Amino acid sequence: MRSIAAIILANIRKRKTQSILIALTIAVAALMFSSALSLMSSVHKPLESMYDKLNASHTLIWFDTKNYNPADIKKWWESRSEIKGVQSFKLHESNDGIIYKGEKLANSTIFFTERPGVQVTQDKLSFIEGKEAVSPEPGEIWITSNFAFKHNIKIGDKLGFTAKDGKVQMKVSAIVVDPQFSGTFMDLVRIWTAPGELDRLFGSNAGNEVIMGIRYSDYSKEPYSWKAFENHLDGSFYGRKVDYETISLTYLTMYTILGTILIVFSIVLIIIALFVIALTISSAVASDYKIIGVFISQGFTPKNIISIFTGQYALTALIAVPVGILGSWFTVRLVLDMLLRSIGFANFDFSMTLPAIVTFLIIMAAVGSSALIIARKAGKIKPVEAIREGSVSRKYSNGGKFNALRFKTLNVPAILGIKQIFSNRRQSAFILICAITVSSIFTFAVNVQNSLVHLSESPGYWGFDNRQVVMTPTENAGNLTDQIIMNKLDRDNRVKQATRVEIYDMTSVSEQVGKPSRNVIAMVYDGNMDALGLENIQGRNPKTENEISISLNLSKEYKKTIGDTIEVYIAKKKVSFVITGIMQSIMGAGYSIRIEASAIKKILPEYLPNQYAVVLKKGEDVNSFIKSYQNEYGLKLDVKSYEDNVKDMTNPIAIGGNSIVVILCIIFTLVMFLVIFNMTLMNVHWEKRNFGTYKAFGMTSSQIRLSLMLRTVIITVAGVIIGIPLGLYMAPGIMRMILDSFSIAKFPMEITLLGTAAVIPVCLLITLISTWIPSGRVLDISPRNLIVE
Amino acid sequence: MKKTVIKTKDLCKTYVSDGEQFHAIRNLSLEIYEGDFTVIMGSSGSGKSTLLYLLSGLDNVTTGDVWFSDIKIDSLKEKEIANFRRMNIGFIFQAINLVPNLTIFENITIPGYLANKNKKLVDQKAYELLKMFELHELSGRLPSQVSGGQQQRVAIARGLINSPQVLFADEPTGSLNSAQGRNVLDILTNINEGGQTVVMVTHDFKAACRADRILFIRDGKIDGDLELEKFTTDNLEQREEKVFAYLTEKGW
Ligand SMILES: Nc1ncnc2c1ncn2[C@@H]1O[C@H](COP(=O)(O)OP(=O)(O)OP(=O)(O)O)[C@@H](O)[C@H]1O
Ligand SMILES: [Mg+2]
Repeated sequence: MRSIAAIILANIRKRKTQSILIALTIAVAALMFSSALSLMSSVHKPLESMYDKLNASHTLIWFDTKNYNPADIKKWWESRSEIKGVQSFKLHESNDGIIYKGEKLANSTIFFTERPGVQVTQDKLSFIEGKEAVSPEPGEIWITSNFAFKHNIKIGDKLGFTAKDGKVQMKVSAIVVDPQFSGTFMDLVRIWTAPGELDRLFGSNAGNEVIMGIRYSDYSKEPYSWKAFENHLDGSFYGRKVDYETISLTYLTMYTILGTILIVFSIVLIIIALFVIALTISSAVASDYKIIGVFISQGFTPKNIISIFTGQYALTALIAVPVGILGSWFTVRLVLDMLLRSIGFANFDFSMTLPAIVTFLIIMAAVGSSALIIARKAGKIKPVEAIREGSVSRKYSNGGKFNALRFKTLNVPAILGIKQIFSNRRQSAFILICAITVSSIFTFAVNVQNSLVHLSESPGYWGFDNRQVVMTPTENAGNLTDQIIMNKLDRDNRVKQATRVEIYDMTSVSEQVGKPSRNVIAMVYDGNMDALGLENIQGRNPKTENEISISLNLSKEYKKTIGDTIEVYIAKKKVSFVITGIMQSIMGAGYSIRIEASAIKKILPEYLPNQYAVVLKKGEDVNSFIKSYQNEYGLKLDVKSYEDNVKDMTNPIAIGGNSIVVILCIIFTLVMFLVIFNMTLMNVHWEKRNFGTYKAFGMTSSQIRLSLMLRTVIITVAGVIIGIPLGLYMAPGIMRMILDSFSIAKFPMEITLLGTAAVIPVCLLITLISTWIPSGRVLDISPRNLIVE
Repeated sequence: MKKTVIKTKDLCKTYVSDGEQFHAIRNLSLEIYEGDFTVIMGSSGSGKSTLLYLLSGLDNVTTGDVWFSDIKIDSLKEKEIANFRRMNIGFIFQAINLVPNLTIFENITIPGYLANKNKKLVDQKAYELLKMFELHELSGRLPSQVSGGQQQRVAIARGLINSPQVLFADEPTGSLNSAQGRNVLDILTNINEGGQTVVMVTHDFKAACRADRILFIRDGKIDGDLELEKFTTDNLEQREEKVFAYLTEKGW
């Protein structure tokens, strides 16, 4: 036993560089695997602990007090045993936007909410900046952390709003973590004000709305409670609701995607690591052939020999895996810190014990068993043969039909480079697979990155129309009627199309096919939807008041396809629609519908959509168009560019996607480097004698190194030629898988030719460097070595 | 008067291993003449191989000079020495050292291409050599698919492809059986008769008899220098007796 341990250590020392390389490969695989597991298992915990600390509501509902009596609603909820508490605030919704430093922040709905003048026990806030207080002072506001970070708003800054008497400026006195509103993907903006401010600012328009938070003691009862609530209200709730799933999605989507990608690619990496180990062991067995023969002749059993080789790699893994796990602790820490920052808690204990143990066991088992399988070959070596032959009788091939000498102009390094490709096929195949993998991942990464940058340029894919300008009459619109606006737009010869639109949120899909009802956002159009560039992934846009397009998530949840009917509540009335299209949309966290304005008019005869979507003629300048309308109508009409709006929605995806892409590229660059480095080192070791012979004929070290470079470069080029199309082919599918939860079935790939072409030199550069360094060993080979042995 | 092809002066080779110095060649001066079949003999460890590697430029000298024709090869840079090897020497090893993943034909021609010669001429010369050594039917095979004797003949052909000034051989018959060995020696004798300078290290008495000069090495120095007539089969017995007597005297 002791002799075996001694041999194991001696072997590791003898092949120091190779042992380090293998250790690194295993460590990187362990790092990715363990990071992915930890991220998946602990990403929910910071959010949960924040929720507990702030005693936050799971469900938010808001409604007009003309429709329901808030006291009754509150009482009903409080009477339920699964409910821990109900908290109600006065609310005013506004679509007029926020002015910050003279710029209009393009944003969706703003929730002005009054903080009561007394301490609340539910929906407490966590103060990131500014002084903690029961409520803001009059004239001051509190804003949410995600909103402040996004626009870089600081304490003391002034924000401008449209109030009943025109513009008002209010001072930011605190930045808070607002449990339901601080998520990165949250598209509602909450502004907290002092008690009594809503009346002062918005006058008679304000104060009819209430936002109510419901905290469950047992959240699993939510669907039943909600159903009971709707039954209590005669079937449907005429208001809006956001549930905990949606809220957690606004926080965690990016991290879940990150975890998924890491898992997928760490499995690729583990497989590569196992290949590296298998090839290394078999080359070690081959070059130790004679020694193994001697060992066996001295009484070592095949079992001993197997344990020497297996032990060597198990020991390497034993050191490498904990190093990788330690590295993943930092990685996970880093990622969670970003999450924690948005949640507003600096300290959070996350446990990596289980992921670490799982990673350790899985990788040790994988390394151990692959080492065992390969090492069994060594146990079968016959001593006499081994000692006499001196080296394993490798099966050489001359490259089959491929005869380098048929080419008239090839020089010798080229011939030898090509020969080496075919004479060591297993290595070549592995480098090829590695080059294919890495180049396809690079291609994937660079094109996804490019698509993310251009996300906002293909609004149709995301369920948006291609309007360039959106106009909304404000609370001060006064005598500016719909007719005046439409007339003006119709006569304006810069306008290609103007359509009345609204994001109407008093809609819900009713309970059906065993699924509870669900709030949805309705995108309402009074005009030709096709002309606005609205797309469906199946079917077509609705054309009549009975037709509807539903989002992919809805189609999946309620198992509805084109031609089916779906029941939707519009303003408390149940309406049946025929599904004509299925669309992808990131609006309403993937739950939305698209209908004609006439569908609502049927129920509310006075109804008119509250916004105007404008598409300009080619060549018209959007900004000067906006300016002219702003000058003409001033505070009566809110006119903004829509591009920014789409950008706002897609930016978090772009930023999150970018970081993933960067991580992937770094890791796989490292992998390719390690693999080629290792393979070259092994090859030099293999061919040592032949290289000595070449030198005796007058080849220089540089020529031999050139042949080594040619070998890996040629294989890499072949790999890249296969890898790039493969990457392009797989990218949309992978993105679809990743974006599935967003109701995105098609990812708009924007192929960048330049970026894709750049994959070639990048791969070649990695190959060149990772071949050049280990090929330096050639310098030490002397023809003098040929007489020894 | 014979022309000198290789000349050494005060040649020394010192190996250092584990901090200990070992003087394998000590102040050795000699001349090798054009057209000669020079055989180097000596007991095991006396420095024969070391000397051969120094004469052929395969290894660096510690001190002293080596002239090969007019080139002073002991002070050449890597590129120059590689170029020198290509153009001026051929080398045959005891362990043969054919490149296993190249065919017989490729093994022979590669050093030819290296010397930047016209591919057609190289191929033509290779065919001639293959024919001469009765290898032409094997040209497409890999070294592992031919016998040991055939392999060594391929190695000789490889050594001759660039028409070197000197063909070196370190115990070329060492790994062969006696029939194969004799065949290799016949070839070497043959090409020497054709004018090729040969320097060969050997342990084999029969091989030594092919020489027209035998240098005897002891402890890294020349301990004897025997001149003989050109080898013919006519007076073989007489020749063998003479060589035997000489070697016995040297304590071989
Ligand atoms: N790399 C080395 N390091 C240290 N000593 C060496 C080295 N190579 C050779 N020697 C020593 O130098 C001496 C001469 O070696 P060389 O190989 O020239 O002997 P040789 O005459 O060819 O012997 P043989 O007939 O056994 O082949 C030997 O004693 C050997 O041990
Ligand atoms: Mg020797």
